[in-house]
Amino acid sequence: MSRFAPPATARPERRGRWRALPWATLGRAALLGAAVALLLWPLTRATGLLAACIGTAAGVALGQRAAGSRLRTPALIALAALVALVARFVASLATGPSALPLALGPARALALSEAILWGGVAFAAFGALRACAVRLPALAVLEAAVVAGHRDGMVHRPLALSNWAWARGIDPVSVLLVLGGIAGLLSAALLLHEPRRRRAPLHLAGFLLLAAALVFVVRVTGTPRAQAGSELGLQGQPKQGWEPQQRTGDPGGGDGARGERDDLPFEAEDPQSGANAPVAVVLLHGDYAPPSGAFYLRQTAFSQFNGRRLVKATRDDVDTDLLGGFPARRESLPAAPPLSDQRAALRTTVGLLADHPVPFALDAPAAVWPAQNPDPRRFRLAYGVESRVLTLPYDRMLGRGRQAPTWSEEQWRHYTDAPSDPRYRRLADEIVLSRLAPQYAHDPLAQAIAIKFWLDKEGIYSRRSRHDDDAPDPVASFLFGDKTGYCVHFAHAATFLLRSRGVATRVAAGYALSEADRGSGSTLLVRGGDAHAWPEIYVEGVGWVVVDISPERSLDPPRESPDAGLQRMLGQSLRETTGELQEAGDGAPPFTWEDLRALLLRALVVLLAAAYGLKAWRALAPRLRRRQAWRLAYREALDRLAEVGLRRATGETREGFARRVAPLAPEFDALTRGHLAVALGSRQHPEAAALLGASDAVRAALRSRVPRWRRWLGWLDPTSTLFAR
Amino acid sequence: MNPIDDVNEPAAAMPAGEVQTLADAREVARRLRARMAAAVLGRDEFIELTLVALLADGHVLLEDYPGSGKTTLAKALGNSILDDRPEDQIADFRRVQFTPDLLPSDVTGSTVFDAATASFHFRPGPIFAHVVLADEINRTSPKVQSAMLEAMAEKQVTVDNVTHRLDALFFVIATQNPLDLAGTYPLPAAQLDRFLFKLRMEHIDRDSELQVLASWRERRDVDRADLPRVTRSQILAARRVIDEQVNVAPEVQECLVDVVRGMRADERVVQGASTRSLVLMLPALQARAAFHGRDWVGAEDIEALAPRVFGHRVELAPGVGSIHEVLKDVAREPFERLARTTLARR
Repeated sequence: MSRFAPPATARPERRGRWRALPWATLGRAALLGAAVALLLWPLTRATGLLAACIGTAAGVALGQRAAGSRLRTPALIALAALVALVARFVASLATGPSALPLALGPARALALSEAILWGGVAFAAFGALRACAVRLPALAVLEAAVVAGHRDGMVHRPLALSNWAWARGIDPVSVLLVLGGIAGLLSAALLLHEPRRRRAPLHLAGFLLLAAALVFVVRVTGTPRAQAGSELGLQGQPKQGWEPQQRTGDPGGGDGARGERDDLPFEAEDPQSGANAPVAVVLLHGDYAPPSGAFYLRQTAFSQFNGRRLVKATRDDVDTDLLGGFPARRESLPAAPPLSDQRAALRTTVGLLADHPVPFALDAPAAVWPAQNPDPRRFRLAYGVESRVLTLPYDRMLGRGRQAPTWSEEQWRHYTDAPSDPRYRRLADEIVLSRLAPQYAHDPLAQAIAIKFWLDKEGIYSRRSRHDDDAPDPVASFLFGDKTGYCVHFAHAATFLLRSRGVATRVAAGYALSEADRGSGSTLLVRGGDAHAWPEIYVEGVGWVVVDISPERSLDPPRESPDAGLQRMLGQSLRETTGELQEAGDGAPPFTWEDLRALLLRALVVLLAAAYGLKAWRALAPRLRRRQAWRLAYREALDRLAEVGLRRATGETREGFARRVAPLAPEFDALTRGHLAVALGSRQHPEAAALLGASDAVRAALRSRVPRWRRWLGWLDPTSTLFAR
Repeated sequence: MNPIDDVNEPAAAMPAGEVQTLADAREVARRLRARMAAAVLGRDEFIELTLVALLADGHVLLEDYPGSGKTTLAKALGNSILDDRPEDQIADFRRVQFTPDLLPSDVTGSTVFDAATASFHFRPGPIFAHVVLADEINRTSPKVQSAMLEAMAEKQVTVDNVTHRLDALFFVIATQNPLDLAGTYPLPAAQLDRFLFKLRMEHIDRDSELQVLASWRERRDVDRADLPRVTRSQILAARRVIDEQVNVAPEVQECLVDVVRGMRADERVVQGASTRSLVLMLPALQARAAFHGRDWVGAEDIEALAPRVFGHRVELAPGVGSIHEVLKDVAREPFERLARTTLARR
């Protein structure tokens, strides 16, 4: 195109073209708006989302226009940054100390502020992004990245969608990847639609390559998992091996496993992170309604008083009903209570979705065995437990002795050791004596229930507690202070109160699930937020009985109930492969990453073979079909030139291309003229031999003037024929 | 791809008056070119375009500054043409300097009374020549301009209701000064349309200018008799041969039409090129192809001639720099389509 010498700038050409395609801008705006809404979902509320959507759409439209203006790109970006800053400033005005919030009321002022902030920021960001993408096509990739991006790599977002998928038994990862793929394809299609860039095959191939790379990355590193909250230190590296009694005289009582604490934290950490992420699935192989109204899955217990607080027992002869590690084969616990009218056998299968140092089970475990992991991509580990679950109602446990007959004096002291602070005893006496009839004043369960009711009434539940973990007596700071805390505080307080009155008590930790959470199925979905600590008292002839505190007042929002669909689906997948309760009608084999990889690999091989075959054929064709030499010899020369990176630009005339190539291969000009003469109706057709000779000359010229590595690289390039146009 | 490779190449044997093949036509162009190139230095492109216009039976409007060699160019062309019909009183070359007080009859000629025969008879004006240089055509009144332009379009003049035919080889090189516009009558678009090309001449490069100074004396004094001239009828025959033998493929015609339609649709263009300009352009494309030794018209001919043909016919929106940038965009797709069709099997 040298003759149409482009003077000065080449900018204005973009204006006319794009106005002809308003739907492309529209589609892009809608796509990016939706992507931004998804991105900001967890960060803002409805007004902010709506404003961000509108801001994005407006930004895209205006950025499109701005790209055609004479503003320089850095100026555009600076302008966008300024707009964002102004939006932030105005948003802070709406909530700051001004007359506006007073006039509007706080809720509206907040909504207004969010709308201004997110709308303005989205507008500025996408205006700048679009303008840059129009000017520098490479930057359009950023737009596609925004579409494909997810916050924190959380593939399962948005939850509404992934829950929907879970409920239908589909892996939400596939659904979201497919959705992301469609969005990516759409944006790629928009990219392809840009005028002047009609290299659809190249772009498409690049996109497919990226997609394939993503699949491989996902395969190698796995999809990002939701991090379940590490509350109460229940999770951590699993301990292998069955060692129930291996608690030596180590004063810290440590079991050596990383991530496992010896005691419970008194300072709550980030209370909400991962509270909804599932950590395990428990399958009940039998009907059971716990008398306490909740399923208590005990993982560990704290019974040894170390002068400040309760830690794990260092003695071997206490807490023998705890599971020590994951079993390698079926193991029985000798300390399990016998089956009776108050204890029924219940088998459970637990599938862990997050690592745990030791298994947890319903009270009281009698045997534990490894179960086949139904789906290693989903479950970390699976094990089965047989528990002797308590069926006795609480009222029938009254009037029993407070001491196990088999306990020694030392064991007895171990379970009743409490702080020497006299306030505990005083408070316990006051509660018990004021609430219980004299005949129950020494009954362990009655005292425990009296103290539970008192704590229920007086305590305030809050996960944002401020009781110093390092205080000399953190429990006293809670109990004789503001009485505001969470399960660890309540459990300790109850334990110390009961121990001060001589009741054998310990703090157990694990997961507690309300019976209502079970829904109609036999599956319990354990979530990070279900982690709990509760006091247990020992009732003679019954064993450890949970007396949990549930404060009437709470400063925290109520917990969401578990997703029924997810619960059912996970239970299903755990049940299917443990070979029990198999349900019919699910025969389709799942589509795995391996299948996809094999498919892609095969497609790649076929494509490569086709590309090289085409190359070879095009190199041979002119000699085999001499009548078509005017076309085939020319095409072959084009192939050779394309291999070394000389390609006719879109809209460039063949003559112009020949002129451009002339310094490297002057013979190409004669070939071009010969070709065009036939194609455009000359009376004198050039000889096939002359054309083939010119084609050979072009090859010879390239051989002598292009470095060898460049030619070899071109020879290996399977896509070069695409550019020989 | 130098059109006529060597200016000093000895003239090929061409029987006088016998132009039958494209090679002969090319030889005509080569001889004219050699003579003009000897007279005017550093203007090769304009010489080529002028000859293309001559062979395509079109006229040329030169827009340039005084003293840039346009008269020399026109004169050299007139001198290169050998009149093989001296009896018809048509000169080789005439120059008309247009002024505001010029009358149409000063251009076309007038009827004068001959006392000897006591009758009126027509005395042809300067327009009766093979090559006419219409200098500063925008300085004269519209009346004279229209008389001139009628002559250009119809190849005839009408004086006192008697129509006189001009020579078949009637070629006008008109000039106008692009800057000094005071007291001028700019040509309206309809009249500009009569010119095949409007050429804007820039100053020649340094080497050519030095060469002009070094050789101006000998070029003034010596008539280059060694460079053969061509006859009027050879040029006419060359025109015919080119018209008959240079093929314009349907794909090329499509490409041309698409370029013009694209230009009309472009929002930077207020008024697009006419259909007549397309008709006029075809012979120009053929002439250029023949000039370059081809018997087929290709995209490069369109690429080279489109700005020259459409530049003065297309009205651009305010703020649009030049026809080049418009053409660059609108021609992209038609050229790409044309290039793609050539590789297709047939």
